[in-house]
Amino acid sequence: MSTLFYIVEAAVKAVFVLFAIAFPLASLLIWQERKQSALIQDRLGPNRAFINLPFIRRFRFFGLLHLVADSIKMFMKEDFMPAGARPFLFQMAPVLALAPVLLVFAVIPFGDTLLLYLPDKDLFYAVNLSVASLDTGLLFLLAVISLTVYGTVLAGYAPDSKPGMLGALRAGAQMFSYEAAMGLTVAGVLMVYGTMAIDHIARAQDSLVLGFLPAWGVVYQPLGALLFLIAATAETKRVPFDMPEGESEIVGYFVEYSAMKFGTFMFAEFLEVVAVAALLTVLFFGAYHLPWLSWNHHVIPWLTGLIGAHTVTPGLNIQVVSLVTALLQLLVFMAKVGFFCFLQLLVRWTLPRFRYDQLMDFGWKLLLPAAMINLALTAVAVLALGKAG
Amino acid sequence: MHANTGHTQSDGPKDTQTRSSLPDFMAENRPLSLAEKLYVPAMARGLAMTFGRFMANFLFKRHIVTSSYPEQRREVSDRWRGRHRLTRRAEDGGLACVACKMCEMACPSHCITIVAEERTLPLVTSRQRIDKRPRSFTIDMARCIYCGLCVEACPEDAIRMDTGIIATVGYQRAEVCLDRNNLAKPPPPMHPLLHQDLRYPDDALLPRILRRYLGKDR
Amino acid sequence: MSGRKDDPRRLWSDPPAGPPPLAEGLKPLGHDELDIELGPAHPAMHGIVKLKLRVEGESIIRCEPEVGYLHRGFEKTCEHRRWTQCIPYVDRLNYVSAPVNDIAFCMTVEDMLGVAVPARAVALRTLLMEAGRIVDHLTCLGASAMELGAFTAFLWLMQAREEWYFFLEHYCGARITTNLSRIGGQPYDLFTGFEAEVEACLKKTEDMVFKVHKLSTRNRIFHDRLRGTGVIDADTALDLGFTGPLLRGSGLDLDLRKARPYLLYDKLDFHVPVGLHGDNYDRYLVRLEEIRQSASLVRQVLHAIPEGPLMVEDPHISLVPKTAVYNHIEGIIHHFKLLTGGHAVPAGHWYKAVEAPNGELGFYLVSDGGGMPYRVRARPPSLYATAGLPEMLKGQMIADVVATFGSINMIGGELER
Repeated sequence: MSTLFYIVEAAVKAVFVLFAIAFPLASLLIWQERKQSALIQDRLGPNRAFINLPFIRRFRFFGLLHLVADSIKMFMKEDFMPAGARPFLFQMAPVLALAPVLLVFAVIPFGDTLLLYLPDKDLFYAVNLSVASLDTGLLFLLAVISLTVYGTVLAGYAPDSKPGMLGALRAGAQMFSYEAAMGLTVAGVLMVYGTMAIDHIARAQDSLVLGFLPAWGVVYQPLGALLFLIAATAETKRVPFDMPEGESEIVGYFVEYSAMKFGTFMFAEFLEVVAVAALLTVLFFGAYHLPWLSWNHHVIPWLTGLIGAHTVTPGLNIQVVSLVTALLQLLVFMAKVGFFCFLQLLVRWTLPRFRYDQLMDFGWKLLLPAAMINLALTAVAVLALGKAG
Repeated sequence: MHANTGHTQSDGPKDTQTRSSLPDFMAENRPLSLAEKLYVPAMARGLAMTFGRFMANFLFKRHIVTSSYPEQRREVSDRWRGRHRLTRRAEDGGLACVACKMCEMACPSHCITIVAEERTLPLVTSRQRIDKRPRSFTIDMARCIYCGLCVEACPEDAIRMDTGIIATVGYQRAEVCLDRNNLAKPPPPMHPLLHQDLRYPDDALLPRILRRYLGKDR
Repeated sequence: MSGRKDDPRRLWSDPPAGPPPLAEGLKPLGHDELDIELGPAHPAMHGIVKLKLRVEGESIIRCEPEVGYLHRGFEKTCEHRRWTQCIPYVDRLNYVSAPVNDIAFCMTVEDMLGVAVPARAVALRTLLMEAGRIVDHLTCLGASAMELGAFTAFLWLMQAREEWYFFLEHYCGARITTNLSRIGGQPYDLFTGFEAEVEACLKKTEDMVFKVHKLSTRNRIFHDRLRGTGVIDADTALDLGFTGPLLRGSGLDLDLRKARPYLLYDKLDFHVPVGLHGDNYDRYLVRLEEIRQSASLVRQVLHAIPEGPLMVEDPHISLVPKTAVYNHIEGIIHHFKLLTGGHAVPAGHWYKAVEAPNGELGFYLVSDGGGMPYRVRARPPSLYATAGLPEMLKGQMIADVVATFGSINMIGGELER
């Protein structure tokens, strides 16, 4: 296959992942945050925005249009740069906050494969349904997540602002403290599945373990899953770890940003929520697999019997069976991601926030030892079970 | 006074009818137990509570207390001190106010301004002979603190605050300064109760609470 | 600045160019130190208060509260109002517990006049003071919880508070600025459904407070934020003039309802909670327990309101009933004299303090014999609390500022009058 084909394939997948999965989910999360918090707090939440045109005036769309209104507002506000700010860094900070999060989506598989029929060779070409099927996916993931620190610290450093600086320093220290714990929990997954390629890990969660449990990451690494969730919440600076943006305290490291730059920070945070949910799903909760229904052993043979292995779509020559399977897998994946987003939002509205030193204590004195113990136990178990065959 | 070194258990009063159903909170003044130190019990309990509340509200709207203003208006109580109104006499329908300026004196924020004039044809009612009336009676609603002292002060029951109107709004200061006589130009087409006299000539505009009062005598 | 530089109407000169001089006793910044200001427009500074902090890293070396942003000249204004006209102004001191302020002021004037208020009014006043206490504590706990990040707890407590505001609206016609007491008694009587409404408010309060208690009190994150922060020991607290939950949280059992009983408190059965450590957690627990005790007090009074008149039957003190005003000449004369001349409070001065939810709320009134007070001085409990804030914040972290500030329940209206 030509290089151009590979580039186009990656580009199409990237566009799809970003614009069909990441951005819509993150935008919805902004609305969901407000609506969910309202329903917890015995209120109604956003429910008023409507489009003032003849036939759609009556529909309120459950307040989804408030999102549109917020975006318009953000674009139209004054983009203000404070007097002592360093211009280049000031402009770059939102970009640096957003870009690494988008990169995380590059290695998340949202389906198994899509089969393209090549008529001249009478072969099927399997397109991996993740933007980049890296052999070192986990390593890439950890590296990219570490880059998010830059955006945060620069956001506090670039404008000449004391509160912002305080928030940024706290945030930076918090983020790289919890990366250590996160890395160790991910190392546990690495040990269990024996590979760093994330799409292989996803495929490996297909079988059953002990005869009745699905071979998901959470079954092999229950403590690891919990620790990963906690560490990732701390990475994304959500409550209870949101001291850097503690709204009622120091107002946040992005206090000097206005309009769309601020919007970018907020959007990046919601994208991180989606990314964390996606990672949790992929590594620990079976990615796109249904618990006792295997795609390869049950669904695809049934569909092939129904539709036929050689039925392809006109034009693009995509095998219909694999297209249907891919769509179903995407649905399952999105359902799981949606659930974990809901869970993260629920946690936000339940718990108060840590004080900064308690946060650091928690990270270094509780989470990191727990992650190390988890790793040690996993190592022993893998060795013992490996010897047993 | 000496420092209290211990906590004496408090069950509240002996009579169970007047006791509160809350637990004794000072008993919580103890260190965290080991389980509590692991964060898990409180988190699990908290998440269960918020999740339960969310589900109850999402599926059944059970506890939602929001009212959708302006489609649903709040019922105000009978005693709500809202916008003022000047009452009318049953005999001739004229204003009950005799421009004695008691309300003007009683007002703590000096928001009532009355200019009195002689009633050229004195009105003789069943009880009294009335010689004065207000030429102008102005309440600056932007200064009013809605305390109700003017109502207490009036010896003629001429001013009341029982209209149930919660807010007096307008785009300019002049619009919230309510006058007895209408301004020279006709009021712009706005909410009918804005820019009104403090009298209510139109029955259909009377608030619900007001209609109840009109049935009674003073 | 308006006008020209040599305009004689200008009362003060332009600020000098360059940074302002350091305050007295303030050393220049050390190596790792940073001067930071919280406020005055800050989500966690209730009312408007500026806190100037000097921090080293995260810990506070020096704290200086700067107040005065909400000063409205209440005391001066009252010198130009008759005694009854002062009551709406007094409402706006501690605006979250207005009934307490009204009743305290009226009680002070009644002491100066030497009148005893009828029993029914005394019972009603006790009930309303306890209702004010519940409302104030709900607000304080809710706002502190929100500032610590527990948004849900805040809204649940606000729901309970709403019920009380509906009750106050049914009773006197306003939710917050209640104006519900007069010199000589209560102008408003019970309404139909009073008992049921109060019982419903209490039930909702207990429900919500219990929920918030389950959510927060044994939560380690919440506990760690409050335990050991904002510590003040009993002796220092007493020296600084703390009263109320702040003093009781430090272990000193001083409550004016027990020490100098007024209204019905010596006949009612309640317990005053006292803390042990003097930190924010103890004050939180003390306030929760006070809600519980107040609920029981309200119930006790509710079942025991005697019949009788609501106002003192002296036409020189309370307004005559309207039937007398409409029909008798003496009625209208008394009405007129009382309204235009004000109460003839004998010359002298008097101080009376009540146990407000925030502490000892006292009124020092000086009369020159006329219908207007010569001087009205309100002793605001928040003032001493805010003045003691530097002591409580010594060596604490910036994050503790919010927790401590929330637990002193500084109310801007009362602090700055």
